[in-house]
Formats: sequence, C-alpha cells, structure tokens
Amino acid sequence: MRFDLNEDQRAIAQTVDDLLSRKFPLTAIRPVVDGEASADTVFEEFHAALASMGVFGLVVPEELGGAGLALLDAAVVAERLGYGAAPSPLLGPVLTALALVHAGAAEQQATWLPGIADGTVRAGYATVASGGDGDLAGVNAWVLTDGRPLDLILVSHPAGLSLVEGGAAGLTVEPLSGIDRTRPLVDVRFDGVAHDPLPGGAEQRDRIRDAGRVLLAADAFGGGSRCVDLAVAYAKIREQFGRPIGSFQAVKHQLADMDIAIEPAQGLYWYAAHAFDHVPDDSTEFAGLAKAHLTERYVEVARRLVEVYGGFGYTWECDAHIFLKRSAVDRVQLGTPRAIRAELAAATDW
Amino acid sequence: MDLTFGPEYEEFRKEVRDFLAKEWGRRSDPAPEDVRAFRRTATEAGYLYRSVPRRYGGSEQEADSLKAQVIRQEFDRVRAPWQVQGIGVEMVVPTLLERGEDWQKEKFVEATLLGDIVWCQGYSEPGAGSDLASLSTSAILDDGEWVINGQKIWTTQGHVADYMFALVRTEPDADTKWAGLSYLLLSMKQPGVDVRPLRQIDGGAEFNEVFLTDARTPADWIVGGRGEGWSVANSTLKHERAMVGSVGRSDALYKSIVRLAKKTEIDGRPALETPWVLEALMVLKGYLETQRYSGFLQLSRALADEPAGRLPLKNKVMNTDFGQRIALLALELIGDSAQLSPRPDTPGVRPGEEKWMAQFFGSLALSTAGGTANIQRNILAERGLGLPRETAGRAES
Repeated sequence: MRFDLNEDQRAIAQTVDDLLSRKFPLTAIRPVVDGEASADTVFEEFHAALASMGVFGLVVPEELGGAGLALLDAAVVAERLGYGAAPSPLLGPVLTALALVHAGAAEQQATWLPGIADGTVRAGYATVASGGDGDLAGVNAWVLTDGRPLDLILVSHPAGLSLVEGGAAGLTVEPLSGIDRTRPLVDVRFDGVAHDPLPGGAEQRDRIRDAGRVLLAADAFGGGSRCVDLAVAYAKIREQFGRPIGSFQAVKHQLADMDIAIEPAQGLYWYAAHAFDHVPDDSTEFAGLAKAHLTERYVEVARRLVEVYGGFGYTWECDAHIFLKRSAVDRVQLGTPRAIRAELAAATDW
Repeated sequence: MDLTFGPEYEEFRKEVRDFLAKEWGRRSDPAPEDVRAFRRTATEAGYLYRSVPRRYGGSEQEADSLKAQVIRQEFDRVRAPWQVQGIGVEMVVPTLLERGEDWQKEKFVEATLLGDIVWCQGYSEPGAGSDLASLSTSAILDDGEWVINGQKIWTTQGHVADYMFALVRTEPDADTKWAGLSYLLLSMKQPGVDVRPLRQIDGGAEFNEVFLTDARTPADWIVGGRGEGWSVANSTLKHERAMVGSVGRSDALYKSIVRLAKKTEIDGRPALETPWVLEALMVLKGYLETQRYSGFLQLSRALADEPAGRLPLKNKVMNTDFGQRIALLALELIGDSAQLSPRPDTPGVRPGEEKWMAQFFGSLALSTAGGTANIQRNILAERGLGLPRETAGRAES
C-alpha cells in the first residue's frame, strides 16, 4: 500500500515548480495576460523551456524520443502548470501522443511522435459533433492553444479519432476572445477536410477524452491550491483595524473552507490517472468524478480568492482573475460538471 | 501507486476470514452473552483492542495500520461485533494508558473494554463551551477526598454512566486559566451527583445536565498531576477527533441514501430517473471519493513515517459536512413526511421516517460534539495555515 507519488514524480513536479518560480513567475506571464506585444515571446520561450525539459514527450515511448511514462506523470506536471497559471495547455500534446500510442498505426506513430516529444509539432485536441465516416464537413470545435499556430489536430468525432494537419485544405482557424489569455482559444472549422483516421480510434476515443478530463482535474487542483496559497499569504499581510485580516475569524473560516475544498481532493485526480493506466473498470468514472468535482471546487476557491482581496480583487492588476478565468475554462472544457455527472449516472449500475 | 495490501496481508485477510467463519458465522440476532464471549475470543486472537496491553485486557499487537484495516473490513463484511463503542473505549482508555497510574489502568481499563462500566464526559459547562478552559467547577482536597462543586452540561450517557471523567478547577490561583485545571475521575452513583435529562431537538434525551454538589472522589482518582488537566484532556480530544475521521461512516451513509433513492418515486417516476437526484448523488460521490483517497494518502504517509500535513485537521469537518449533505438530500427524497418527527410524540400518533429524520437532526449533533466545526476551522486556520490568533489568550495544545 502506497497511495502517494514516488520519488521520480516528486522530482518532476519540483523541476516544473523551479522553472515556473525562477523564470516564469506571474510577473513574467503578465505580458500574456495584458495582451502586450511581447506575449508571443513569452509563449515561445515557455514552450521551448517545456520542450527542453521533455514535458511534451512524457507519455511518448522511449524509442520514439519520449520518456515512456504514464498519464499520472503527465498529470503531476499539469498540476504544477495549473499552480503557476502556465501559458500552455498540456492537453493537446499529451492527448495526441496518447491517442497515437494507444490507437495509432506504427507509421503514424513514427511520423508524429518524435516531433510532439521534442516540441516541434504543436498539437491541439478538437471534439466535433458529427462526421468522421467521410470528410469532416460543417463542424467546428473550440480548441485550447499555446498561443502559436497548430501543426496537428487530433479530432475526436463520432466515428473515432483522426489526425488533421494544420495547413489542410478546408480547415480554418480563427482566434476567439477567450477570457483565459494564458491558453488562447481558437475556433477550428472543418469544411470538407480530409483526415487520417487512427485505426484504434473508435475504441480509444472515450479513453482519450478521459485522459483529458484527468489533466483538467489536475490543472484545477494546482490552480485551486494556488488560490488557497495566495489568499492565505494576503490575509497575513493585509492589515485593517490595526491587525492582519487573517486574524479575523470570518476570514479564517473562509480560508479554512477553501483549504478543505481543495487539498483533500488531490487523490481524486491521482487515482483517476492511476486507473487510466491500471484499473480500466474505474477509468471513465474516476476521470469524470475528478474533473467534475475538482473544476467545480476550483471555481469556488477562485471566487473566494477575489473576495479575500476585496476591491483590489476586482481589478485587472490583481492576479486573482488569472486563476478565476482558468477555472472557468477548466470547468467547461470536455464537459461541464453537470453534463459529466449525468453521463456517469446513466452509466452507473445502481 | 500501489493500492493493494500485498501478499502478506492477503494471507492475513484469509486468516481473519477463517477465524470469523469459525467463531461467528453469519449470526443475525446474537444474544448479549454471545457478543461478549466473541469479543473475548477475538481479543485473544489479536483482532480487537490491538493497542491495549494484554495485562489490561487488550491484545497488545504491534501497530500495523494495514492489519487494522483488513480486520475492520472483514468484521464489517460479516457484521461481526466490533469493539465496545463509546466514549469509554475511545477516550478514557487511551488517556489512562497514556497518562494514568498503574492501579488506575488495572481498575478501569479492562472493565471498560468489556462494556461493564460506562463513562460520561464532564467537560462543558453552561459558561464554558468552546472556551473550555474558562470552566468554573471546583474541586478542593479535604481529608483525602476531592470535594467537587459545579455544573456540567451536554453530558451524553450521563443518566446511565457509572463514572465521569471531568475537568475541574483545583488551582484557582494558577497563573493561567489552563494551569488551574485537573482531570478527575468520579463515581456517578453518589448523593452529590444529580443528573437531569435535556430534551434534544429530535425528541430523544441522551444528554444531560449534571449538578455536582459536594460530590466526592478519592484524592488519587486524578489522572496526571494537579494542574495538568488541560494536557491530559487534550490527548483525549485528539483521540476523539481521530475517531470521527474515517471514511467508513460516509461509505455507509452513501450506500444507504442510494437505497432510499431506489425505492423512492417522485411524481410517479423512480427517483433514479430524475435528473436532479442523479446529479445530487454524483456530487455526493465526488465528496465521498475525496474522503476515501485523502484517507489512503494519510494511511500511506503514516506507513512511510511521513507527515500528512494539514489533511488530518480536515477529516472531522469533511465527515460532518458530508453527513449534512446526505441528510438534506434525504429530506428531499422523503418529501412530505420530512415534516414529521423521527419518533411518535404520543403513542399511536404517526411519526415520520425515523432513520432519515434522525440523520437530519443527528448530523447537526455531530458537527457540535467534540469541538464545534467552527472551532475545527479555527484550528486548521491557525495551526495548519499559520494565521494569527484572534485573541492572545488561546492555548496551544
């Protein structure tokens, strides 16, 4: 019995934390949030830093340039990226790599996985409502990006999973005014796009979505933890009536409730990630439970963080909105809590 | 991640199963003497009272959280009698083992484990609740006996208890309010003790006021030294908080509300086809699994001898919040009958659904007993998150 991260996983988390705190603290991410011209540089530099650490290749087999690790390892990284409000969604590269590993043909794997692993291929994950038997036509999806053009799109469609290259004919990608500027949303439209189906796509499609839910749950845990830390730190230094506001019981209880909402739920996403690789019977249920529960808690604590800051919390200058907006996106991506719970309830043998 | 118990423990599980099959079977309505005999056998086999030395009636096993889990799971599976429940086994015994004199352990521990003596707690007073250390019940040494005067309140089981463990003020001139307290044991069966039941919101009367008027107890019925009562009592409170921090109770509550939902109809349709019921159940499942995996993490850290940080400080609030969420959903499900008392007001007058109305009220009792949920939040905020104390006067414990 050891339900805990191992030494390697703790070391990976520490490496990502170090990168974020030393080179990309919130002040360094600000140009992205504020929409300044230097935002592109931040996106590029951050992408390069993650690539050189091997983050994009975590789940890629070693013989194809990756580390050959499991979803849990990637989720641990996603958690720390969430904590730092990192300008990069891990969703696209990790899900595309997992789809190739579990559903791809050898040739597709050889073509794409090395590039995903070293960061030269930027991948996104799109879910569309129809098509897949023939061309993808008249469908669209909102896709999270790392601020740069997509080279490859993993499309989840009713018939399975397919790959579409960034420059494909019939494909248009339009930027959207997303609330979360650290992970820019684009509207990807498919109008008669030829696609390259993954042979195991029909079977693996829902599993890949489950993996995505685990990553979002991990991001929510990381972001939620940051909200608790920021709120506690502020309550210790902000003084009113001659003493720190954190000495008032009303504030204390609010902070305690935030802490109770988030910290104990870390094991939910750990177990969901573990189940993805080792306990197939629990995989879908726990991915859904973790994503629904944790993203909801993230929204809850991000809202409370704004309250703890008071009027300052409602300003653009305060960092609270960065997490509030990320929480709102985590909540919606790959199914709202209510939709996921309805799905899980329908699949439950009561 | 390794969520298995491993071959050594699966072997142990088999041993427990064999024991239970032989000694218990699947009895549904055992006689009290059978339960008593079974507890003795199970203790001799090393399954019950594992942390209590053999000479005081326990089984004196090496601490092993995994074995403890396996035993509990297997006993629950066949509904075999568990250790005697209640404040005596859960609070008095650990406190005496940690702080008591040998003769106190000999006199009280085994009889408590067997359920032969029942205890009640004398902590709270009308004027001392969350600020317990300000209590005013006094004890004065007079001719080899403590003479106790004051009033205790919220005394669960006070009307049936044989003994009380009480915090009383023996050193009125001490420097601080905490340093003036001592931890005394006293008999409830004496003229100076007057127990008056308090009627609870659910109609029951399990807790009481206890008036102490020249109540007496021998000079050596003190646990720890004079003025050490606060630290003795705090070791007990810790035990009580650990007691309510497991997922077993929440698991049982969840199973039970699913059973209720299965047999309930809403507007002529099964409740389990009603979207808001399903949503509510899945929300609860999220909280339930959160508790379960937080528990696994705490267990793993304990096994690895690593700290679990702030997690242990949250168990009680999570547990009681869960009980209240369950209760509120139950009230939705039982509909109109949620207006009726758990038990008949007068014989023949129709009551509501006893189990769920009792859960509705009882879930509130749990959030106030053993330190209110608000005090738990203070403790988490101050000791866990390092926030400054509201007043300079609160004691560390």
